[in-house]
Amino acid sequence: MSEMTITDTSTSGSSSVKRVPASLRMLPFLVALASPLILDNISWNPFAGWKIVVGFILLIGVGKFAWSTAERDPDDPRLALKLWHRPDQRALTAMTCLALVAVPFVLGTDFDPPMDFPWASWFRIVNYIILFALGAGAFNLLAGYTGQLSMAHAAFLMIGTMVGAHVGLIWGQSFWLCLPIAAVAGAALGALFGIPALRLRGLYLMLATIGVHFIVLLGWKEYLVHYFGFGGVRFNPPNLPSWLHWVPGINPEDGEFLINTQFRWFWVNLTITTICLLFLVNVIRSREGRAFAAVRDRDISATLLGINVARSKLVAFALSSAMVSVSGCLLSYYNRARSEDSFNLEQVLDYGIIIVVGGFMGIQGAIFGSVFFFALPMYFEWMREELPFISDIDFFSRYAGEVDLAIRGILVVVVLVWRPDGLAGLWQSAKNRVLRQFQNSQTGAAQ
Amino acid sequence: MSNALSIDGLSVSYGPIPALKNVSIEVPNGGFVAVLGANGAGKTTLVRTISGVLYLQKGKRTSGSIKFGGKEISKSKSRSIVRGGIAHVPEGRMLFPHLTVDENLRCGAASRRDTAGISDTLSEVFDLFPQLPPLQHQQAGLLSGGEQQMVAVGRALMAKPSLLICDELSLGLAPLIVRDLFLLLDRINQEGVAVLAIEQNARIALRHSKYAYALEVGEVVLEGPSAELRENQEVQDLYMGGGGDIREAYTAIRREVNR
Repeated sequence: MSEMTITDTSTSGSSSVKRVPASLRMLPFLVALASPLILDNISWNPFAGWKIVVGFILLIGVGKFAWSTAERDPDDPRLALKLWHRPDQRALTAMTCLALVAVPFVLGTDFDPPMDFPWASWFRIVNYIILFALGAGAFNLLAGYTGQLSMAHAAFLMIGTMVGAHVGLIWGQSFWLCLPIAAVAGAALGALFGIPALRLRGLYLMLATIGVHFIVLLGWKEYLVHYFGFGGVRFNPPNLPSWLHWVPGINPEDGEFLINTQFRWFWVNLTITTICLLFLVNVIRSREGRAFAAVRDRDISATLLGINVARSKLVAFALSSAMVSVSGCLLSYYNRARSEDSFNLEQVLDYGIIIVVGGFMGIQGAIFGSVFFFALPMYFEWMREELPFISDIDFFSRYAGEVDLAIRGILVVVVLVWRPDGLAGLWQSAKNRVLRQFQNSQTGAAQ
Repeated sequence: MSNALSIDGLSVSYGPIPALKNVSIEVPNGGFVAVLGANGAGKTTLVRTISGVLYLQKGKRTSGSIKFGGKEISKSKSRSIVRGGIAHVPEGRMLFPHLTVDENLRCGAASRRDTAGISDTLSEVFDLFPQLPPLQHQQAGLLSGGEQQMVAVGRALMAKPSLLICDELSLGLAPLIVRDLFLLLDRINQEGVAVLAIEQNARIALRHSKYAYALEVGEVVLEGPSAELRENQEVQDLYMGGGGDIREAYTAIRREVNR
């Protein structure tokens, strides 16, 4: 990213900037990322008394440490574009890193919560959340950030799957090669299918992209019949490349380390999603990303400023499709089976719900949205089946799936009426309120 | 003095409807030129033609040439015009409402590739508009009209133009704010940037500009140094609400009614 050069604080003349050595600034994140090594060696059970306390102290400690390594001059225009430059952003990022790497260890225990609250099955939900956060983030870049309402994203999931099946199964190449090829194929086809966007917008573009969906759907069915038969594709669990076998915690058997458990998939999904989403966040911070938002807000104004509107739209389509295609490839290997009706238009609608509930502006919304989308139904299911009084209601058990959908629908309406900018907006305002109180208490103490 | 911008015999039409007829306008290097005109006179069409966005309104240039720094730009794309040094403050400000002030300003530098220089220009713009730094992380859509207009001017300046075109700077703003903005235009002009101000508010435009043109239904009907035009009875009648005669006219009406 060319914008990275701006973040070089040594060129800033302002003396009020607190300088922190670069090595120290990265340390909290490294501590957070290295913690699985510690966690793995002490057979982590989160509900074993003192371990909760230790984990909590570690979390707060890493957060406070990250807070202290922030640059302190919020008004310096050079810092405005920087990722995680404010103390609260740094602290929360470090704490999120720590919490994320702790998740699989916590979920991997054979802990049995009271009232039959599902435990191990949350692993699957967490993996879906991560995978859909990637797809929804990419969808958000196009629909939310560039304002191009595209319904063709299930088609790009198909393209990713096709690449995964063809390169991985027919050509017998490694799974890790499928991902970049899926990205390239998605980008190329995305730019191609983005061409209608140069002339159409809003509902018209949506209809045109629905057309694209059905064209690709036809291709997918023909492909399946031609190569795999009506039964659909079955994917083999990928093998970790041998040059990664030195990593602690990885014990290859017969020179193979198959990604075949939820625990192992978690790390694969998390790594790839993090890389892709960080890339998108960096694009949004760059000149290119500002051009996307400018095209969305006022394309005449954008043209007047010298932004190439056509190019911006196509780049947004290509980037978004590439990421969705990668997530399609990952999802297929994670799911292990794909048939001809695996991809319907409803999937785009799912992405739509995720980003609208999560918040249109930025990648954060996609993450919040997919947590909402996957975690809540799981929770409802448990309530419906296990809670006294509720489990007695015959109606709920008879219309189980519909009730879940209806409750989710009600919650979507509630969230949107309450906060039109979605869960991300809610989170931002809550965070700002806490920060303001914190600052007030600090200035009060200083006086 | 050589000309920064010279428009020669420009005619533009929207389908069968002519919008500009044989318009010739010149902006000298470092000059301050105003174009006056009522609604529908073709002012906005003129700036859109200069900036190369006429096609967005389905307009067409039928004849004439536009030269900027000696180079013909009437066939250029808008982005190469911006890169060549013409920045445009659009009518009605047209900020990106969901972006912050800082991001809006950075969007103005979309045609530039020198990352370090952009940050320097940003500091210069913040120096020019001391009201903006405290607002830099606010959404531009939530600012007041005057602040938005400042952002719009600052955004245009981010491209480091040699010619700044301001379309209806005074639109919907309080007279005091308009005065401040024109004082700022003076300052920008003194730093060597040529200014072409398209205005309905003839009084203030003539006070600050050095040369002015009056457009009427797509034609230049009047031109001359601003100081002279200000004294011109015709201009006063047409664009300044009849100058000093208004009180007389009012009392005449009163007399008529009372009788």
